[in-house]
Amino acid sequence: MGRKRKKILKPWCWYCEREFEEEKVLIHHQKSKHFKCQYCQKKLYTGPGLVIHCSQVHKETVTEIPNAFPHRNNLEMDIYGTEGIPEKDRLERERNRGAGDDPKRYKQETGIAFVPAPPGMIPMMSGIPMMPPGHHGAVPLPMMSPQFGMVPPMPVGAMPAPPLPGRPMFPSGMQGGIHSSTEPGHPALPPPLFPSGSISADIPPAPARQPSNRKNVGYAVALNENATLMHPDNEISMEELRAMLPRYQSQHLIPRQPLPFTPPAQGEFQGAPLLYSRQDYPPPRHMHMSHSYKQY
Amino acid sequence: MFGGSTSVSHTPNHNPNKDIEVPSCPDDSISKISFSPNANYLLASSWDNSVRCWEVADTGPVAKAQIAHSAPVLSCCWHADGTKAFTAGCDNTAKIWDLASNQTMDVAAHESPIRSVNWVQGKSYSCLMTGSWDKTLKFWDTRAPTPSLVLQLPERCYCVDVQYPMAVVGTANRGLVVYQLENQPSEYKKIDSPLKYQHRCISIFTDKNQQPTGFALGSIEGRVAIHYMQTTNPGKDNFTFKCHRSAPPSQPNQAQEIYAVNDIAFHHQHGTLSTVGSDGRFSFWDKDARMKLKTSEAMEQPIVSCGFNYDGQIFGYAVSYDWSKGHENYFSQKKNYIFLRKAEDDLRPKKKK
Repeated sequence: MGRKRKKILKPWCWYCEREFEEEKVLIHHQKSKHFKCQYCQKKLYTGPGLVIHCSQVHKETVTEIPNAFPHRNNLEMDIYGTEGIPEKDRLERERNRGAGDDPKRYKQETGIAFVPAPPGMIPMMSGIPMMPPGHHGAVPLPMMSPQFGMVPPMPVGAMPAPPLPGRPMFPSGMQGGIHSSTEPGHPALPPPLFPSGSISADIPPAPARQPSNRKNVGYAVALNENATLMHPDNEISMEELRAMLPRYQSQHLIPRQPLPFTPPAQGEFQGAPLLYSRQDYPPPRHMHMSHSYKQY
Repeated sequence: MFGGSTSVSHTPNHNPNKDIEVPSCPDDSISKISFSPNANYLLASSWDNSVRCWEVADTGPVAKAQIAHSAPVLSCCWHADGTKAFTAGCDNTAKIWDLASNQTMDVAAHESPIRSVNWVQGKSYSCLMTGSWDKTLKFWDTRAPTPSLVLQLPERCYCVDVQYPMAVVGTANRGLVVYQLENQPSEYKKIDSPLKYQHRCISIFTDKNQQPTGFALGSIEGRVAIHYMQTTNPGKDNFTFKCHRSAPPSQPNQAQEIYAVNDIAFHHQHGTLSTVGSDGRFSFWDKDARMKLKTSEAMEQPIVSCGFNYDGQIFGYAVSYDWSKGHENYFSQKKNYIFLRKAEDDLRPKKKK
């Protein structure tokens, strides 16, 4: 008797499970992390507000709440601070927070593949990024599974990177350094050639042609860590590159020196045996273009 | 409810905007399309060496005629009277094509591929203007074998637009030269590029009296600059805007993809403009209100060229591979398309509230 069992939950963000000391700070967090328009940086108040803003002002469709966990990126949730959090999720969190004696649990990070959790699996997630200010040092997870080992400390106040399915998680502060390392499984998003802003506004270096990672290069140039230019080269137009191909010169003018034919490395070009890989036809990249035109 | 747009783009659909498909399109990529200045005819030049002509009848587009060059054709345009066309490309020659008799004749030559052909219809003269990667701009009386005038360009010619008495040329290395065409063509002004990346397309816009007042310049870095030639306040009136980019990443470890702007066309009745890009979308813009009017669904392949017909009722756009992802991503079995859509309503500027 007299002992109060129930802990009072601190304000927490439904989108990323982060905990705050005050509701005011939480609202500020949500506005700047989850409700900020990615086109004009305006901070909106709710998810639906963001959707309406983007569709009316920018004529763009928002597909998910930015920086939210994959199972919490629902645009239709009308959440403001802790208002609007579904009862089910609130109870879930209460149960999890109350379960351990020590609420100061640590985020599971580097190296742990996140399992995209259907709503029923939320317990796995819910202990994650609680990091009360002023608390440093690594503490083993209370209910640690064997492979997790020691959990690296997380800088206070750093926003945990929302995990992607099947990918390692990194603290967002490290983005520039890690920068989407070569992942052959993601051909749709080729990793930028030059991580972290090696190119200034003036002249982007020519796209690299190293045979080693040829799969990923040849056309896209990373402008900086979060933008990729989908164009082969700033120095020469796509038409000029294309006109150099033997197949576009076969019926025309001076017979050119036969080029060594290299069979395509992958089976993907079998329908078009005339194609040469970009490495195999002239001119070399360092040659100034005005010279190469004399071949016409 | 929301979020459906990403899944839609993955379904194999060559016509996500449900527009009218032009029949008998070229087998290789289309380089440029051009509408007749006074009738519903459409030209398309192609990398398969052909130039084709369609009539856009009320019942739909019908293929009419076709000619061939000996190398890929990079550009095509109409004579002001709409009975003849001009075509030019990688065989270093330009041809005149009389559509009534279906005869062609060589009318211009350069030392390198010709990137652009434009018909100049002046008050006291008319001529053909050709721009080439040999760094010259040549003016031709179509009856003479030699050019009547040759002007040196600072670099290879990449994009040209002509609207008498103004011509503007964007070149490699971000060169930008404006010409005046009255009496005799001459250089009017070199302009420092408002953009930081390779110039790709340019289009002149006019004031209410149909006099050219400036141009829109597109670059490979998903950006368009609006530039007025004579303005008291260039810092305020001239501006650039971003376009043809993927949505800004919602997760910190994603990268935004920035695509080239492949073509710009102005709607002459409304003064609004369209841009098309390597991202496979077209967008409509109101440059005066600085507003986007519409963005299309994404095609399976880039949109390489676009235009409006003479009365502004039809918007045409050509879908082809443009080499933006190198030859590794060129699949010759993918078909090329030209689509036509009703333009009138989408291009009308929004009324001020």
